Amino acid sequence: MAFDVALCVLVAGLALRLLTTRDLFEAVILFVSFGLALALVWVRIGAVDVALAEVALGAGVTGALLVNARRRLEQKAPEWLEAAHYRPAAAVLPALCGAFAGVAGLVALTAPRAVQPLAPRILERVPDAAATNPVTAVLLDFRAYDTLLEIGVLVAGITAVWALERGRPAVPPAATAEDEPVLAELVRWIVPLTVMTAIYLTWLGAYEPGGAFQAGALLAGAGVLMLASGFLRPYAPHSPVLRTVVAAGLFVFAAAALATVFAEGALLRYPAAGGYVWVLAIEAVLTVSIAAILAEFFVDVPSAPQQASGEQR
Amino acid sequence: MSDDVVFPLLGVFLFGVGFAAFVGRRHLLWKIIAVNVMASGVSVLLLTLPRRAGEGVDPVPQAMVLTGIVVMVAATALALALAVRLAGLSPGDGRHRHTRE
Repeated sequence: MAFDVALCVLVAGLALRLLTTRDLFEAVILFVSFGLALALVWVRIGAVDVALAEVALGAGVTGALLVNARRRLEQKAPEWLEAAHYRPAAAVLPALCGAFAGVAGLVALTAPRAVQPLAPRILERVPDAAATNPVTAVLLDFRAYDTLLEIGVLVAGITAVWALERGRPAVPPAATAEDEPVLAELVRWIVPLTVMTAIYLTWLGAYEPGGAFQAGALLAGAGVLMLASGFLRPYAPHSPVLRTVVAAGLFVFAAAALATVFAEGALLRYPAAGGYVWVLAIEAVLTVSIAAILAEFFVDVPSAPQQASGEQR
Repeated sequence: MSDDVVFPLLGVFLFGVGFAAFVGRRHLLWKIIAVNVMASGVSVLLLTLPRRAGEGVDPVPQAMVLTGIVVMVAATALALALAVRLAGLSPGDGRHRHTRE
């Protein structure tokens, strides 16, 4: 109990500080800390799947995206880094938000709790589902079309980012790893471990907390690390290989959905016998696609020596 | 105060400060970060409000929050790409054109 209160104070304090600071770099680092502390909240309430996603995606990928955006701003428009003081347009604004939060808090405290909890009904049906982890059962069986649309959102996102980046100069060829021996050695250790963990998480998702999105984020992290350290040459944005990998998750999932419509008569109702195989196959393709999409969000990660020379901090 | 009160209050607080920063700060990157904090507040509420102390969490809101986290990452990536593109097009100071601080 005391721990929960302390944790909430920590999360709230981090949020307050990162939103009011003037230093963009500090805000980004605090945002990552905020995500990690929030993951502890998820663990405390027993939502381990969400905690994994928060660490990998909320703190990890978003944090890295912010660092990358800050670096690009540094090159393109350094004046953007001199952040403004936090001076609200009108003094009434924080008061209004405070009042709103007060009312919302009152509602949150007095609202009736879980009139018709869904959990028992879900847990009752999980033994017949294609996965025994209740969250995966919801994500890929009971409400699989949500996840189908979710990967659609990712593909739409990367398409838009590509469109914005059209015409940018080609990424210079990656440097040789020998220029940065410590980084190279670190990458040689970390990447195989990350890939192994990602495979394990994908497979584990059917029984225990884990799954395609968390594993995809891990793989993407390994990919970005290899791009930044020169182990991997970046694909050209129009490379057919890259586009196939990015689109594969959505297409395989959509094809599976169509197949189930014809075979079983309902969207994404898996055959009674082989449901587990379907889910595992979809998750495996999803993991690779998600990894490619997330890594592609870092469109122009520079190779190591470039970064070292451009690093001012 | 039991723990099924503390966490919903945290969710409301996060949404509140996130919203205040989203409206009040003029730097685009802070607006993007603020939306992320608001989304975290909504997630905390979604997961903790229907839960009674000592019970586990509903798998349905868990799946919804998982989806939300992924969608937020995609939205953040697109918003950051737009912000960086904007910085290249119109070197300013990261604030809205119409309102000067």
